[in-house]
Amino acid sequence: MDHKKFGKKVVLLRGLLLQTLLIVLFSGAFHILRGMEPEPQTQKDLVAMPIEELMGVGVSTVLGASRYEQHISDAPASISIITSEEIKRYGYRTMADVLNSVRGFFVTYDRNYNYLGAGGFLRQGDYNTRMLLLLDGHRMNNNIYDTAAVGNDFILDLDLVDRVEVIRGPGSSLYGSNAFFGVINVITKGSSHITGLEVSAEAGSFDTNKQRASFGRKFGNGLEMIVSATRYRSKGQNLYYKEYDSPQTNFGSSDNNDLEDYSSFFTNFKFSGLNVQAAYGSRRKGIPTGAWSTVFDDDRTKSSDAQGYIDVNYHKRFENSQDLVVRLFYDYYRYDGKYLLDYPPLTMNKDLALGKWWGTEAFYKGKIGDRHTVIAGLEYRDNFLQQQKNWDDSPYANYLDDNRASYSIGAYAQGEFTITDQILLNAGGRYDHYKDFSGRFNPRVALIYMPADKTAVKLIYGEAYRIPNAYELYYSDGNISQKANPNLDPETIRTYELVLEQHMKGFRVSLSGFYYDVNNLISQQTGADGLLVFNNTGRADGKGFQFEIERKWSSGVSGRFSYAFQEVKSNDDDVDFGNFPKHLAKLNFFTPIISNRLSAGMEVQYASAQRNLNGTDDGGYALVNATFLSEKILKNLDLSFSIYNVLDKKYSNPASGEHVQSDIEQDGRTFRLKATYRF
Amino acid sequence: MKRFILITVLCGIMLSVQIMPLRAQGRGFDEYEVKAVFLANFFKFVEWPTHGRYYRLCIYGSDPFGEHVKILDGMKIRGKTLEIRRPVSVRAVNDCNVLFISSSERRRIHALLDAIRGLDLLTVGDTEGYAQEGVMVNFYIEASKVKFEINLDSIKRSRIGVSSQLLKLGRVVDHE
Repeated sequence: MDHKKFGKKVVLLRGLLLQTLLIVLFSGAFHILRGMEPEPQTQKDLVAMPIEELMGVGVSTVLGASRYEQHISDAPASISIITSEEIKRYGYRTMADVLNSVRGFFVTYDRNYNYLGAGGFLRQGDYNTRMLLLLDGHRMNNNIYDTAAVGNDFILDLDLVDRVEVIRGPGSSLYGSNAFFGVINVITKGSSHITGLEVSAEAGSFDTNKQRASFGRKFGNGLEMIVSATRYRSKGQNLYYKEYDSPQTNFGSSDNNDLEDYSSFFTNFKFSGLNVQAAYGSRRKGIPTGAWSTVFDDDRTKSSDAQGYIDVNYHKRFENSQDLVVRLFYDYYRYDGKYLLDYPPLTMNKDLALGKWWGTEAFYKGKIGDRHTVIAGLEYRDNFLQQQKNWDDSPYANYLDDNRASYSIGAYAQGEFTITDQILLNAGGRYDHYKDFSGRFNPRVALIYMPADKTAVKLIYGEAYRIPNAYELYYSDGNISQKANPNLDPETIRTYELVLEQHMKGFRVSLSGFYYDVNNLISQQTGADGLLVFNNTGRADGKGFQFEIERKWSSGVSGRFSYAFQEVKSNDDDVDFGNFPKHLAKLNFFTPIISNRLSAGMEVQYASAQRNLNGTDDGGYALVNATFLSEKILKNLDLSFSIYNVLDKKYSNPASGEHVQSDIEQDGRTFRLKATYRF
Repeated sequence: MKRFILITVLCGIMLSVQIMPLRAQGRGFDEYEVKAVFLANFFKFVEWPTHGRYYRLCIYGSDPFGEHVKILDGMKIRGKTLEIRRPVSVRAVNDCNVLFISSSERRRIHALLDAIRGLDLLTVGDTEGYAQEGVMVNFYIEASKVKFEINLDSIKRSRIGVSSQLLKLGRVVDHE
């Protein structure tokens, strides 16, 4: 580490801390001096208000009892919800930040993409194919890599997220392929959250800046609209990798190769049941690690992802709480990879992946008698373009030009049967047929027992599967580092879960245990020829338990603690899987400091040691993040200041097979300042 | 150093200046504190066919309000005294004026509404789907504010009269 720079950083930090402290003291003193103005701080003041003003009183909706809690206890799954309020309070920048705070979830980063693991399961070389990501119900996993993008490549600016619902367990009984370990449903903000023009600017460590402009409006005739655009740039940092510490490779220094930028666009129009949504995002990332045997320390090696969709859906509500939703969508995905190789001579090798698909879905919800609810649906998806190319620029050499098309048809039904007032049976299943793969039925059954109103015990069994994607089946870079395996079979999973949820005054406690059994697991391996290849590698089973307690005090203070233990073994050779910590503990704590003016959110995340591909452990780590938030500092201005990895802990994530490094070092202490203004 | 002091002072002033009345920003209120006050307000906008010395607010099912309705007990509204009750059976709701139906009743809501049909009650809830089932006023949360939807058909079918001033504030839902 450059000592001069380090010294400067400390001075800067000390200055910032001092300044923050002074600001807090100063404004606190000012606050007291202002004395006791009539402020409706108590319920008594509310009683004196006319009803029209009452409609404008803000309430804290963390654990918004009436809105979600009941749903959570009725749902045939263990669910976590992260709200926009928490996103603000804890300074989350990406979906990866959000998911890292979720019980039992774990996100790693290799300075190219973010990788998401759950239930102890995260396979090297897997681009989040085993988690289904939905945006307002629209499937986001693309049709080449099946990627659920959770980093800056996620299509939506996190500022536009109303809440993130994390539904654990296999979801194939409703959603088909990819819903292997869970479903993440992101729900966007409506025009009631963004009223008029809103602009936001952020600045952070390593020359990072972001700007957003959004406009939302609800018209008299009932039309609601949102339009938003975001731009992000980051120069990134200069990195050091000891594996490259030799005179030929700049003594291990990778300078100016960590750049990242993205832009994204989102719009949504709603008019009496009709909902039209369009989104587009494109992101570029320098690859500073020398992955895939590229030339180390050269900024020409990059990856770019672009994704866009148009989704039109119509929701009709009939008598007796019957609902019909019809959806039509078109999706686009493109990946451009540039890899500078030294054969010799220096040659630019390029990847292109292009996916286009459209589909339609119809969904019905109705009641049988007073007590039972049924849903049923049909989905058709046409992957009319699944193209992968790989070639050398000059001299030109073509290694891969693979053009595919496929389709899938799925039909599903689920019923919620009230057996007695205390027992609920939720049962459903989905049958999918994919081109080139035989059909499969995935069931899910949950028995929910509610002995008391605030207690729910759930026993859940579910099956899910995942079709191998185009990348796993057909990708090869001319056998430089990776080869194809068109004979892959789908992988399947069976999951058993027992969940206990208990609500008490201000408390929510959840305790769960799970066991799962994966068959025909698709894993990336390095073959005898030294090439990476995806194979069906037999069976694996995982087990674990999770505990979470959440508390909200009436003073506005709230906190959440979770602990998760998980263990995954390969059944064939009884070897523990690595790449995932056995113990995960997370603590989130939020407190107002000066009434409504200033508040602080803090989180601590602990992960025990993970084993990398070399079979060594990284020792684990504990991270602390802190955010100071001042909402409505001026009438229309919100400010926040976040410090990530406050203790500047040096830690790493295991790397996958394309790297020489066995672990990739993560960010030290970084900062972000954010301002949002509403016109 | 000068800039440092300037920024500190500026930020401090910004933190302290209060342009908007605090109540519009409040983060401290529990949703049930606010909902309780709404319930008390409803008495001002509703006419019941029978009259007495008391207004009765009944909470049916598991009580989400707890302490937050204490302040309302004994309150004077339009010359009458507000009383809070927690009836334990459907038979005990006869003399209620406003009946808040807790979400704990969501699986029995149909039967419950059938059982109280014909009584002069303003039914209120805060559970998704209640308004569609026939509950007259149903709270929901939107952008951290308490809002409510109104089932006009249910109100029209009853003998109580609800002022248009209140109806204007709610979101009217379609038929049952």
